[in-house]
Order: sequence, then structure tokens, then C-alpha cells
Amino acid sequence: MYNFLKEHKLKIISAFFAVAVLIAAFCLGGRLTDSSPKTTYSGNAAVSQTIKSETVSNAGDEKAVNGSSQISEAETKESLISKSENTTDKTQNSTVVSQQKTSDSSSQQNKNQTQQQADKSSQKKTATNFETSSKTRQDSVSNEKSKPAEPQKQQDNSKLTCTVSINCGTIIDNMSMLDSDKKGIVPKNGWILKPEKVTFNEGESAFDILQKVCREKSIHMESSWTPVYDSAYIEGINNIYEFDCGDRSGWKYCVNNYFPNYGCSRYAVKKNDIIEWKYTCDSGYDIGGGYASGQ
Amino acid sequence: MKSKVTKITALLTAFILCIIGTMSVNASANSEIFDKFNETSVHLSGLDTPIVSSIGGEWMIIGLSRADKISYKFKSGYYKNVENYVKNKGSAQLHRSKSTDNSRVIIALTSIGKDVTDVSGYNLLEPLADFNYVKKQGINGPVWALTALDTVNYQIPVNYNVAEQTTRKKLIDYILNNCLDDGGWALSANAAEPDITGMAIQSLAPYYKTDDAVKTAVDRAVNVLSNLQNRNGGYSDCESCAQVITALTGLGINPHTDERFIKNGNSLIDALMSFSVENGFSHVLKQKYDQIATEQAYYALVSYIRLIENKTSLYDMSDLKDKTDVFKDINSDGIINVNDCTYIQKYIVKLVTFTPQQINDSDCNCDGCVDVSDVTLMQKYLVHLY
Repeated sequence: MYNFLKEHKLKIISAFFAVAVLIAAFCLGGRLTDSSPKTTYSGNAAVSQTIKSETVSNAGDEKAVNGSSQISEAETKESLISKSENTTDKTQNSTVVSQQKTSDSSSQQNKNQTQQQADKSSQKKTATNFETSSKTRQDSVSNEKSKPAEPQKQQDNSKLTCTVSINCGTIIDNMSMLDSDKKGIVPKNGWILKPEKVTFNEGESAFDILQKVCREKSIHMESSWTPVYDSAYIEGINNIYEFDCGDRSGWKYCVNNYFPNYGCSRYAVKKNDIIEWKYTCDSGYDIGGGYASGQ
Repeated sequence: MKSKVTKITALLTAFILCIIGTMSVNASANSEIFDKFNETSVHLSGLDTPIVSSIGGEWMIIGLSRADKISYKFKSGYYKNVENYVKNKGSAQLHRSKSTDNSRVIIALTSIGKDVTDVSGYNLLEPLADFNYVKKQGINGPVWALTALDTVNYQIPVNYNVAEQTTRKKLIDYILNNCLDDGGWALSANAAEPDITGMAIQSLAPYYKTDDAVKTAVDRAVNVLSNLQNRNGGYSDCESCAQVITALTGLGINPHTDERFIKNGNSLIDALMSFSVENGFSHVLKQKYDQIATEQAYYALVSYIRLIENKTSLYDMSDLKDKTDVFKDINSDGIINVNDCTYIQKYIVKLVTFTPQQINDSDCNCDGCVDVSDVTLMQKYLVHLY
């Protein structure tokens, strides 16, 4: 063995040297950034879309739709109508499934939003949870449950009805977490609006219905247009706001016992839908809508 | 004799080719990343001027400014938008329940060298003094308040009127106490979520070396993130990859080469790049361009590039405090001196024309225009009065 080494000493040394130089070259290459392009990554082949149509990036736009649509007894309806129209225009842009805009409640963008009314993860979670809630579904909800059916421009021919209710009963079980200045405004049993039949026009969204009903009943409601969800976002109803009852509290909506994982402007109401607005104190888990948070 | 020379020459040539080969393999991997970074820089810079918003807003400003790619137009335009926004709010508190709005704007303004204590007369740090307000929305509140405050080591304003005064210790304790049993963080779930865990780590990074409890928690969380990594080297969506990359670079860990973050030969950077689409990134695989994903992936790339270029981390903006950066060699003679001041004055009276870069460099006080106040500031600097 020793003899072998002695004989081929030169070759062995030069081999080690060669390897050392190659390693050095590799590291050196790592520092360079302008060598020949080699496709190391097989990225997405998806086509990009014109971002300008999506991005709400005008200060003007923001001003028009981002304000509160607070309703008090004395307030007029004009501003609300224009806001609802703006909403409809915007929703016509998106045709894609909830996943991206609405699914980032925990992502940084949404770090300043709760996961209320938003799905945090991708479609797969929606599909799985869909099975579990299928028992309670009624036939009027289509199978394409996970896809938002964007409301169209309103057509005023059909006389359609749906049922709407607003309830914040979960607060009663969590009074210790409620902001002290809100203690006096929680209604009995949590009913802000008991189930009520409402007529609507084809193409109106769950948000449109809520706005209408609150206006008619003089119930306070504040919302803001949220680009991140590409939808209106319900900040507060009856002066009960998101986070008023702990850091997992806020408003969610369900239709026929199913919680869509996208914003209420993106749900087109269908005949006989039962729309329920529920205040949760536990990210939806206490009202049967935990899955809609994307958990 | 001849055949021996031929043999050696052949060997040598082959060897040199090997060297070039290995060099280009590694370089091209990195060049792919830089190409993507450049492409996205150009694309983002071509969008509308950012506003106060979680999309098309601060994250674009932060990414571009930390990449040294922010245009004069964006800097001054965004700042004007913030001024108007705050003025219209009529308050330093930008949201009734989310302190993260303040934190986000603070980080963006800091990154472009603006004074956060005087925006249309309001001090954006003030609302962060109210600890109950900071905690109101849950984990995101304290995480982002801490990140914002530590960009340039802001002092938390003292407010005797609040029920509980915020301190850095309280913020850190809150974050550590809200760590889940498995060692990670989440918004409302009981299992670690990569993106929230990433953000929590980002906020704790400045305390890693000096606080034992932080070090223990962060080490554990890094482990959790490594275990959650899938076979493609990432997580279920682009943003989660971006947040973990930003977290690791904040700790000085290389997300492309660290053993713990390579699964199946795929690094976190590889995973991020798998979401690449034209002009940016998608939210999940095989989907189209998404603005949120693009903004986050972009600043994650920026954080990675800053790491390999030995710059301070994304949110460590102490590198901006150096005043000498403000004054540039306008006339390109290699020195920063009074001749540059004269040159700016010539531009002001239209004796010479400036390139956009020169205009950018001449706006020393970042007020959006080049005028005598910039020249005065530079002159003060030159005589050590600034």
C-alpha cells in the first residue's frame, strides 16, 4: 500500500489539488451574479395579469370607498348607495376563487386584519370542511360553495326574498372580555335583528342586503372596503366592533349554515337564502364557523 | 515526448473547463435570483405610487427602499399620501383597534428617512404607548409594534393618561407568553403557523443575543419551522415562505444554504422561487400573479440579498442613520464638497440640466423638491454644522 502511494505520489497530490481548486471555483462562482443564464428553477408557467386593474392604488379610490358607512338614525342613504355601486364595480374584476385575496388573514398584509370572514389557507381546507358541513346544507346553495359568485350589476325585475338576522349572543358568555364601555349595549339574548324576510334584487350581495336592512331598521353598521379581501369588511354592527370582546372577536356571516371564506361583497344572494350575521368571540369556533378562518 | 505534452495539455484544458463549469453552476443559481429580483423591482416601480394600505402601500415602499431601488417619485409621492391620510384621520391613531396600521406606516416612513414623530403634526409613535391598544388585536399588535420600534431604536413615548404604559419588556413578554405549546405562533389556532411564527421571530431577532429567554424561544421556533418545511423546501403558500425567509435572514441564517432548511435538495429560496410568475409571484402554486404575494416575496428576496451582501437585516435600519449617505457626489468628480453645492445651485437657476438620479441625490432634505434649502443643508454638513 505504501509503495503504491509512493509510486503515484504526484498523481494523488495533483488530484487533491484539483478538487481543492474546483471547490474554490464553485464558491467563487457563487459570488458572481452575471454568468450565463441557466434555468435552475422551473417556475410557474401562469400568465401574469394586468395588475393595475386589481390594485386599489389611487388615493382617490381609497377615499371613496374606505370611509365608514356608519348609519345613525339621522343619516341619509345616498352615500351608502354610491358605496354599494363602487363595491359592485370592484367585485366585477375578480373572477378567481377566494384563495389569494381572502386567504391571507395571517399573512403580513393581513396582519392588521383578523381572520374574520377570511380564509387563511388555500382551497384544500375549504373542500375538506365542505364535507363536514354538508349535512346541514340546504339545496339552494350550489355545489360551487367555495367559489364566490360575484354579484352582477343589479337587475330590478325579480321579486326575490331571503332571510336576514344579526346576533351577538356569544358576548353574553364572554362578558369579562367585553370592553367596559360596550357593556350597556349588548341586547337581550344577543339579538340585534331577529330573523326577518327581506326582498332583494338579483345580483345583490350579502353586503348589499346587510346595508339595506340596517338602513331600514336604523341599526348602526360600519364597514370599510378592504383591498386585501377585495370586499367590504364589516367593522361593527350596533356599535359592537371587531376586537371589542377580546382579540378573537368580530363579525362573520353564514348562508344556510355555511360560512363562506370570502368577504360579504363577493357572495351573490340567492332566493330563500338564510343569511345570519354572527358575532364570534373565538375566531368563529363558537358559532360553528371556525373552518372559515382557515384553521 | 510529444504525446506527453498533448496529454498534459488535454488534462489541463479539461480541468479548466471543469472550473468554469462549477463556477457557473453556482453563479447561475444566484443569477436566477438576482434576475427575479430585478424583474420584480422594475415591475413594482412601475405601479401607481403607494398609498397607506396593506396592499399597494407600505410593503412596496419597504421592499424597494431596503433594496436601494426606490424612486424619487415613490418616496415623495408616498409621503404626501401619508400626510394627507393622517390629516384626514385627524389623529395619530390610524385605526380604532389595530395598532399594526401605525406600526406598518412607521416602518415604511423610517425606511425612507422620514420623521415619524411629526406627520402633519402628529406623532405616530404615540398610540403605541397604550399597551391595551397594542394588545387589542392579538399577537400581531405587539409583534409589529416591537419590529417598528426597533428599526431605529425609537423611544416609546410616555403617556400618563393610559391605563398601561407600553415598554419593550412588556412587548417581549407578551410575545413569549403567547408562544404555543409546540413552540411556534399562530393567530388563533393551536398549531404553529409558519407565517406568524416567522413574524414573531422577526420581532425578537434584535434580542436574540442579549436575552436568554428570547434565544431559547427563537431556537425552538426555528426548529419548528424546519420541521414544518415540506419536500419542496417551503410551506403551503408564497407568503409563508417569505415570512420564514425574512425571519431567518434577520437572525443571520442563510435560508438558501443552511442545512436545517434544505429538504429534498430544495432550499427555502428554491421554494419561494417556485411561486415565481411573470413580473412577480403567485399566492399558491400554479396560480396567477398576486400583489400580496409579490410584495412579500420581493422583500423576502431583498432580505436575502442584504444578508449575502453583508448589509444590515431588512428591519435593522440603523444603516440609514449615517448622515453622510444623504449627501452625494452630484457633479461626479469623486469628492463631496462645495462644488457639488454650486452644481445644485446651477441646476436650480436652470444653467444645467440634471438626470433623474442627480435630482434624487440633490433632494437632501427629502422634501420632494430641489431648492436652496437642500443646498444650505449640504453646506451645513460640509462645515460640520449638521
